[in-house]
Amino acid sequence: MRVIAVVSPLGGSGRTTVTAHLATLLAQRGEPCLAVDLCVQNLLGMHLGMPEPSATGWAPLAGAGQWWADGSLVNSDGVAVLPFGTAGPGLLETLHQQLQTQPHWLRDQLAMLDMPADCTVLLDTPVWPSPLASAAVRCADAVLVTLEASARACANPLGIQALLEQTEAQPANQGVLVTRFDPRRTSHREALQTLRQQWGDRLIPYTVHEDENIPRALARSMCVGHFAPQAQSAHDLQSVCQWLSGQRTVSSTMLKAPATAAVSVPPSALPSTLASS
Amino acid sequence: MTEQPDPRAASDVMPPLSAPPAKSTAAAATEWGVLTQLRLAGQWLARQLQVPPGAPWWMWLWRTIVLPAHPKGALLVWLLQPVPWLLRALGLALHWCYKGTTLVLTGVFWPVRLFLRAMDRLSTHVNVEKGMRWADQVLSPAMEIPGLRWIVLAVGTLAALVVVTTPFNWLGQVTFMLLCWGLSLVLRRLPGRYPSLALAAISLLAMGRYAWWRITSSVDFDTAIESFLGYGLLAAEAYTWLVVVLGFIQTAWPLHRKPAQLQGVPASWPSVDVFIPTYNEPLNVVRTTVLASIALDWPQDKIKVFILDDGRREEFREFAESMGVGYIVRPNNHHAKAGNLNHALGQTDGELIAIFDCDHIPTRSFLTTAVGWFQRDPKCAMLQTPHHFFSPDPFERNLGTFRRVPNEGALFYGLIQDGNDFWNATFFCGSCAVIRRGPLMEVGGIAVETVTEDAHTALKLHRRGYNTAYINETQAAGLATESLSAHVGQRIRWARGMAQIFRVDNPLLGKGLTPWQRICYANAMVHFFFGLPRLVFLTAPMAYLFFELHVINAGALMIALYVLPYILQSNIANAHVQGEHRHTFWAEVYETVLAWYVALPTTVALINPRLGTFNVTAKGGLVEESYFDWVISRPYTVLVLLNLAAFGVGIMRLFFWNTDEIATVLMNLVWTTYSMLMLGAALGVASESRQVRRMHRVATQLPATLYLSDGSVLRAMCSDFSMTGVGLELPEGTRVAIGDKVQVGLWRGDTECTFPATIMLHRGQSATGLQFDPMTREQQIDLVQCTFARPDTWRQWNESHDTDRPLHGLQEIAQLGVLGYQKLWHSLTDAAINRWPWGRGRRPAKLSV
Repeated sequence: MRVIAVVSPLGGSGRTTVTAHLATLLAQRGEPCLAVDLCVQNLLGMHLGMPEPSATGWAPLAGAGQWWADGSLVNSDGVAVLPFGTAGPGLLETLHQQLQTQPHWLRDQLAMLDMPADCTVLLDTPVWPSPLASAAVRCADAVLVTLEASARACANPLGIQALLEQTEAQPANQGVLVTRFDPRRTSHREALQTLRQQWGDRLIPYTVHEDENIPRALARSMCVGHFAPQAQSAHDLQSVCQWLSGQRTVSSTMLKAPATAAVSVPPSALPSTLASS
Repeated sequence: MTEQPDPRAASDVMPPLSAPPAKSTAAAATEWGVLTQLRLAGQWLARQLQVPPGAPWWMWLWRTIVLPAHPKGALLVWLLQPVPWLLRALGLALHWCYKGTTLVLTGVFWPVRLFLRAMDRLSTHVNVEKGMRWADQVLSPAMEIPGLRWIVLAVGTLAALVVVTTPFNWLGQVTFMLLCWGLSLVLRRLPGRYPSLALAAISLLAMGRYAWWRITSSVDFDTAIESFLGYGLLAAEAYTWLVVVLGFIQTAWPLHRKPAQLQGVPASWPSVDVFIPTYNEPLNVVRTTVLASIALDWPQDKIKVFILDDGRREEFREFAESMGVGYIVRPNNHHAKAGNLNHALGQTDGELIAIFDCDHIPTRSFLTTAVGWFQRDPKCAMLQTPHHFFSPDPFERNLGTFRRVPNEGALFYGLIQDGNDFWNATFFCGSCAVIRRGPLMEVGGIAVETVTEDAHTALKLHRRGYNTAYINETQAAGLATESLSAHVGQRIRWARGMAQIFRVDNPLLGKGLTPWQRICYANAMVHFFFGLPRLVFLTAPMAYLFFELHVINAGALMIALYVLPYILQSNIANAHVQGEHRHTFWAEVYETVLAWYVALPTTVALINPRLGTFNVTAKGGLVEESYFDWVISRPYTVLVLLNLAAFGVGIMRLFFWNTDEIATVLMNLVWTTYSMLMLGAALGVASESRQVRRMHRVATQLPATLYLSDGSVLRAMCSDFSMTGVGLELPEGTRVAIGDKVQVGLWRGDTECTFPATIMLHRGQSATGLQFDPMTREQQIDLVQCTFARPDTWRQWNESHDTDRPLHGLQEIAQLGVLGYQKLWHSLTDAAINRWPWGRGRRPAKLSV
């Protein structure tokens, strides 16, 4: 089992979108895949095909002392989802306290899941710092920090460094991903230059473009690769997925395009049939 | 280079014609009968045509041609009735003739093919690596012994002389030919350089035998005029032998120099001045070069770019100011480009000088590739890189061979300069080169005595003991000459200039050069004297066909026995050594086109180097309308007519007049046919095809991004680019409309740059044309960097060339020749129709081919 945590010190930098798409792309390749929503906003399910946020989820179950994974669902792409569920402030407080007393609670819970050995678990986290995000980083084998190309993303590299120091993941498995990139904007280009200098090799060589196709796809509960296979963002996410799987191809910027350009659409393109596992 | 010598049969010449038969004085009595028959025929005709008796003469014409009486009775139709049958019969006969010929040829070539296959199989058994190892172990130490190299060379030369001068009878010569052929068929399949050298040596032996035989046993002439023409032909052939021998030495061991690593930190790298000389070229041609030069990879405080404007144009001054580059003008235009550069040398102080013609766009890696050798070799005074053209030259455009057949310059930059480099004789070619200021000032700047200042400057540097270098990596690209006339003009200048250097600063004389450098320079100059010999070869068979003069005094069979191995071996060797850079027989096409124009200027320059003026090559023009260049093709047209007439006379000689020396006539006819095909290809080049775009677009495959106005971003593939627009391949189902304002993203390294553009053309997924909107300075620089100035843009260019298959190439040239005649015919008929618009009415002159 490989655990990938998608974290960010910035809200709105595309953690949930990236998590959902990576899960879908891995599942499309036939790899077993579980996406866990650790964020109280409970939106990951919607990115993966649910028409509305699920009321049941792991947080209410865990708060009630029940087996946390009873609320999991599988979409038509084969992605298993563990939604957060509806939670009030009280429940959140309880969870945080639990994490304080049992720092390895999340790792233990994940270990107890009945998943195949080659399964990939993707963790969508709340904005860092938060107890759940820290727990996710601590138990991750790979950490993906999503940043947008802006001045605020460049402002605090030491903070992100501190975040990465918490993980046991190998340095080669720690990556900074620039999302929502628009090269038409000078501020974005300049910020990307700065981020490159700050992060060097740790910056993933692919940036995810700011693309109207992503919100449009979300509005239809689809992933962008299904909604608009020709979109640049679909291509970018595909490249990131490949980078994560260790097939680190050479930079896409020279003559050749990366080997797989477009996502092949699976037989049932609408990921709306959710089944309980 | 191949050429066909004139055959001649035995010297006993028959009287040309027997006396005509005496005219028989037949009985006058039959005359009356004939008249009656004629009248009867006339009456019958009048009935057929329904011409009333006593009608005027025009009535006959009227009924015959314009308006027959009634369709069935029309004479013309009746007369024409058998024509389709005849045509069909003719077609059938031709068809069977063709079939028969193919069958016979297949039969004849069957053993040849078996032989070829056997030799190919044999070559797989040769263990080259073992031979190389043996050579390394035994030969290399032996060669280190002082003086042994020269002894080996002398012994080899002696042996070759023996082989060349030993007389053989026909059987001996046939055996020699077969042995040489078999050996070279095996050798050509072996890898490495030694087999290439061996192949070239065999071809030299075959040539030597032919030359020796030709000089000793074929120049015994009967009359003064025959001697004159005969020795003229011999001189022309001797010229080609000389060029072959010099060329063999020149390209014996191409150096293939690799770029040297730059040493030290960037702050210690030498300072560079980039010179972009211009005279009358439009700004949009110069702009790209300037933008690319600004963005060369080099420390910003160590590079200065200068536009050297001999046109003194305000527009250029403003442009230079807006780009922040230097702008240098001078009060006069003395010595054209050379003078322009020299003037700028006095105003600048960089340690190195990079020179680009105003239409040669450097890639950003130009300096980092080129300068390393200046650091490594302190005596290195000049480094040249290839001239590469991304638009088709007139040959490629008008013959349709762009990126398929290597062009005229490919041999020079692909092989000859690399060969020169081995002998330290690389010469400066005027552009895409770096020169060190110190040595250049020492020889008095760029040479101004001749019109090819570049080669002359390099010669002066070599005389001072400096080194030059050549790196065969395309680091800049430019526009080829647009029209044939411009191309010819440029070649005339080169030929004149080289002849001038040969006169005023002969590389064979004077101090400071090694013998090998002298040979390389001499070949570069002698090469340009090909004009006269080529004209001699194009006209030589006429001496026999028209006037029955025998310009080679030998039997056709012996000529064939000596000349065939020579042609065969040199073709095999050339295809092996230079096939990648020049296809077999194409040298003939290139030379045939230029021969007439180069012949006179080189001769004049040899006599008086100061005659004539300097022409600047026009660039960036556009052939708006297809047309046939009558002026430039006039000499070929005359030569074609002469050859046609000679061919006709030859046919008469073959069947009626010279039936006693059929072999001789046939040889001359074959030679004439070959000349006519070459001339046909030349006519094809003179027929200018229309150019569609003003800015030539470079075909490519680059990832691109398309930003639509609704915020969605699509992935695309850039299929072609220019400074004014790009072509994109979009995924299926992309909805864009003509006139949409979009942005295009292209990559420079790992940085994406975006450019505003408008959609001009949308034809499904594979063809979307975009035109760039006005851009800022930074965007323009980015655009050049994302397209023309990419270090890898031109790397795979030459891989699209077809492989050289000599016989196939000959067939293709023959087809091009026929096509050339078709084009000539069409332009003739079009011209006639325009002149006399009877019947069909006027229509615009254009080529329908």
